[in-house]
Amino acid sequence: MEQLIAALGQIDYIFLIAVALRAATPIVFAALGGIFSERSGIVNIALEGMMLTSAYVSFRVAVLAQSPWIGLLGGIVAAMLVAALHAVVSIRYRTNQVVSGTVINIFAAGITGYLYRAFPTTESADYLPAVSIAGLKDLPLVGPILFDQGFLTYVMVLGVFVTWLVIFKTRWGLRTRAVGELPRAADTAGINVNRMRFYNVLISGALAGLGGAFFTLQTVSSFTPNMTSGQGFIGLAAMIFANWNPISTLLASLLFTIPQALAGQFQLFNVPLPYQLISTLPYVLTIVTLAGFMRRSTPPAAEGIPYPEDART
Amino acid sequence: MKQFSIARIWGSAWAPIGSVVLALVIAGVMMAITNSNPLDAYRALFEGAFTRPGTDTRPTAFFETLVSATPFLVLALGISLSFAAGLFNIGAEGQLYMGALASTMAGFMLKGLPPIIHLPLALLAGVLAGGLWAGIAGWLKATRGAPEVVTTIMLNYISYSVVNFMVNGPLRSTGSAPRTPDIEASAVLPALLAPPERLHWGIAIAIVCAIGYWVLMKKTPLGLQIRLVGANREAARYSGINVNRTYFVAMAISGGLCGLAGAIEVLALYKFLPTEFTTGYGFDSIAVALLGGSNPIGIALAAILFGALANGATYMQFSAGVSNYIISVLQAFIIVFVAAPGIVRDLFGWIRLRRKPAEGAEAAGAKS
Amino acid sequence: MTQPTDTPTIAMEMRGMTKRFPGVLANDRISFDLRLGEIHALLGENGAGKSTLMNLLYGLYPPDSGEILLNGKAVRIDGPRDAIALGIGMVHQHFMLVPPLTVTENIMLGMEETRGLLLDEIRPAARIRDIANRYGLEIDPDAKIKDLSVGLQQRVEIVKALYRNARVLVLDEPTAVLTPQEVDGLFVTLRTLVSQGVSIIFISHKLKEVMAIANRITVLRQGKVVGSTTPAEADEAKLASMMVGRPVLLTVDKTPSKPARVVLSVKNLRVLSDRRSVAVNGVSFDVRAGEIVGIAGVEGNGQSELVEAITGLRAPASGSVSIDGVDMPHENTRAAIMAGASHIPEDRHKFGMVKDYPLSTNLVLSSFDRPPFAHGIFLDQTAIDENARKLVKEFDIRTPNEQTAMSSLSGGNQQKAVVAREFSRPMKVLIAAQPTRGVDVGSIEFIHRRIVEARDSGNAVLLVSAELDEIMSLSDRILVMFKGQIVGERDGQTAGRSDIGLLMMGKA
Repeated sequence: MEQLIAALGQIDYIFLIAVALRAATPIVFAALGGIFSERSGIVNIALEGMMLTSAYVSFRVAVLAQSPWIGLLGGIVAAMLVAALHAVVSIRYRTNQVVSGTVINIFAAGITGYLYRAFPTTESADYLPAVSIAGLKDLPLVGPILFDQGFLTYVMVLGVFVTWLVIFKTRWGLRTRAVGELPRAADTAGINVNRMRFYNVLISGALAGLGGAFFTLQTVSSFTPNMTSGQGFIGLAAMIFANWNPISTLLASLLFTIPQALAGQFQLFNVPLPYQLISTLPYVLTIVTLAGFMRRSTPPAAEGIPYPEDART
Repeated sequence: MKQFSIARIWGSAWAPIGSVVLALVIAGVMMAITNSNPLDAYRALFEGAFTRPGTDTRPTAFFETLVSATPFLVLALGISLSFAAGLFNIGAEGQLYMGALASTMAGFMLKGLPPIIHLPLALLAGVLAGGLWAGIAGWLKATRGAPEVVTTIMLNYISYSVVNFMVNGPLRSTGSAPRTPDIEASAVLPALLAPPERLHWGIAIAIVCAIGYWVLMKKTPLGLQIRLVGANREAARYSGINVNRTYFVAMAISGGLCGLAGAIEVLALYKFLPTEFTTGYGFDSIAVALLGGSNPIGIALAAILFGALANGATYMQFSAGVSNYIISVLQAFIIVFVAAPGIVRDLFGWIRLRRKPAEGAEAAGAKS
Repeated sequence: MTQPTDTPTIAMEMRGMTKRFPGVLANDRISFDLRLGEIHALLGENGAGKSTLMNLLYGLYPPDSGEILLNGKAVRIDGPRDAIALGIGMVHQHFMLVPPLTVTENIMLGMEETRGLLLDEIRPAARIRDIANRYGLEIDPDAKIKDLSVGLQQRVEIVKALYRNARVLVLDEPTAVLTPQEVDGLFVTLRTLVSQGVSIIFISHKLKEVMAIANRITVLRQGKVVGSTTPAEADEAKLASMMVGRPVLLTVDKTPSKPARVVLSVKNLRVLSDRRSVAVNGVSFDVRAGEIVGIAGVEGNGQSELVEAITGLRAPASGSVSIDGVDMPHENTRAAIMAGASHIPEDRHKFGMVKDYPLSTNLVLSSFDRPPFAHGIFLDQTAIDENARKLVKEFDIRTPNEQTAMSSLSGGNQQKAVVAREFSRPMKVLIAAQPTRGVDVGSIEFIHRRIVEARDSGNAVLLVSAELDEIMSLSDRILVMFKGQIVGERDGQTAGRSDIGLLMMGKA
């Protein structure tokens, strides 16, 4: 206990938040993807599988092309293909979207696991660059947090604002919201409901692709099966907690990663907490969040319901 | 009683069968592309799963398949029950872990009990642990509306850490390897046949569970209540059914079955708990549940199929030189096709297996 | 009203429209024309084919045969976009407005204006104000739809059609959600529109209103045109018999009521809506054995939440509900059922039945866990099937057999099944919410008769309906609900329509 208090006094909190922001990168990407998909009416549990696919593909492509940028592109494309599968199964074949998402996750885990074992490699590739903006990074407080991060983290923060702009201030976003709340209103206004949904799911795939690349192009340069460890689901929880709003999503994700970073710091200062129990922290937090905030959340009204409902009109 | 007819059985079975066939075709294509002979591979798979006889040191293939199928069957029954209530118990893996943990603890920590008490107690510990673990998700869903699809997955991750912690820590046996002590002999679930056969009484327990599942769902008010909640929750509420309590009960029974599966594996086969108790059974069983639908015979057949795949894969690698990880691909495609039978229908139509227009009319013609 | 000339200009004509759905011929060679500047009513009971015909006009699905002419020229309408481009606007029965979005966002959906990459809301808002002024339809472009009253939402729908330059306006059951005074307001709007050259099709099943507003009336029955007439040439009785094909009893025969003990007692009930606003604001009333109490009021004034609180589907914030002197626990449907409450729900699809399950199961939804349908831990399927056979006969439910799925039954038969189930339990109080919504006239008569029988057998009956005619013909006592409160009570025999209408508006 004394060690805990001592540690609390010694921690560099600025550094802590910077670490938390970095760790939030895949979670936020998953959540942003979830926002596009769910606001158009498609429940997307498959973000985890899309991220995992992207993690594997971006790694292998980066090694092959000896360029993390091409790897990133490959990962995005792969995740979008998986997203297209989810979209087709949910929209055209009207499968229950939770079943479809779960199935996609198992499918992705199976395929990446197989490819990983069938075609092993010991090579590695360069990382995406760490971007450290001289001058700005020395600003007090925000400097190290915002201006000394990896490439994908910058993209993530940018993505939050771009998502907000698109959803609330553009034609695409207006139509997406209409399609997700009351699709027959959009239909009679001449909008192709299922086409909007399909493209939004693809967008969510692209964002999940960016999130997946974080694991193998910014953190470590190798792939391990199931390396996404549920971060796609944590992203979903953040999205729900944030009421499907992009900016709140960033804050919600930090809510998960700050305690995790704190626990990491405790380790550093030899606070005697067993590492296995610490590693459950994000999952426990997710459960607590969901338990506490489901009642307050207002999901898009038409979420999860295929259109047209009875395949008649 | 509904009339027995071949057409009706085919009508409900063609989708799962078609999914498996299609997946075999696709996996076969993948093998051909990587310079393996799919026919050799499938022949070896079949041999390794069903026909290869036993020797003094090696168990009979078919019995081994049944050993592999046992946990699939019990887990899939649990998952299927959750589906019936409209819930998605993706936490089967975690519940299996907790069941394994609890039954191991009951197995080695209780000493001096006769088998007639110790074994059922250990099994019960597994059931209760799994039921409680799933019950957490069920309770959160019932009282707070937390989506069980996410909470059960979170509980999975938590369970891995809990088991890891326990086996490395408080339950660790003396010696170098991180594992628990062996369970007492009185807690062992005995084998049905002499060694080297591993077929054990777990298969009988699994069959009893299947029968119990059928009776529960079709013949009891509780089963009808669960199905009604899954079919139309609001109508169930209107009819006086306590939906929240039903969710909790369904998850608890579901988790109990999954915990039982974990208990069986430990008490019959492992007889202690290692740290790396990774099985993946929990996720594969989701595929088994989807493949089998809501009827126990279908689930049993699907469980045998997956048991065959798991068991035959090693021989397939040995005899035909095909990496046994192709099984993961096979399972992955089976599960996609089962989830969207329409894909199977479209693909079969494309492969010129012309189906009667009556089925196609639903997709095409009736759009008015 | 615009007077038709000797050779009236035909704004729109439909010839030989035929449309078949699986199992039903919804439109059978229907021919229909709309003159410039007229209000032409399309009258028929539920299921007669009126909505189908207009959906064909709006391009929601293609006709099997037939053609549509606009101003004399044949046109092809492949979807709502084509219809809108041709100047056809539709105000649907269920509004096509997205609640979280604003009026402007809803109106410009599908034809948004942009400044660069971003939405431009200023120009559309200005245009909306312009239209509002021209036609006397006051609305606030920045208001969110979910904050608007139903009458205002309807106005938004009309402006939406005018924004797209509609010259032919179709209104599908527009008065279903309005008070009598709001209906008058709508009629003023329609007459203004017509004076500006818009031609209107007015779909309804309400005889009084059709007689009040239409220039011409065309009656549909079972997918065919029965005939066309004018208000001058016909009266309600004639129209009703045209709609149904036989003389129709417009009122229900009933003997005066003899109320006895109090069965249902509601005290100071306060109930919140899903959006956490106050839906029921301190309501108290009693219903006695042998009387029918009708709650009149436009939908959305708290009736749904009131019924849900009484039947245990929703927990009240405060107050109490008691049946035969026993206080009911909150949000407990089982307690209400066991105390003798039978509930015909207003949304039978959501609450009243499980559509993929057989009729026999649906008939025992609330009683399958005890004798005679269950013994110990097992179901008694024979008893369940026997019960179904009995009820099918007694309630004249048209079905191939008792194992047919509920989804295969017609709306009227589904409702009769719901009624059968609720009547087959020991009953003390019957709560009937919108009991004849979406039901054909024959079944309506049947259900009304059963409700009166329930009352005559000594039960208490609470009737909640948005159809004022139904309330007035069945109720012994009428309570009017407005904004969550009971604002007036009248005797069923002597109440006056406009008096009740004023109460429904909140004006005493």
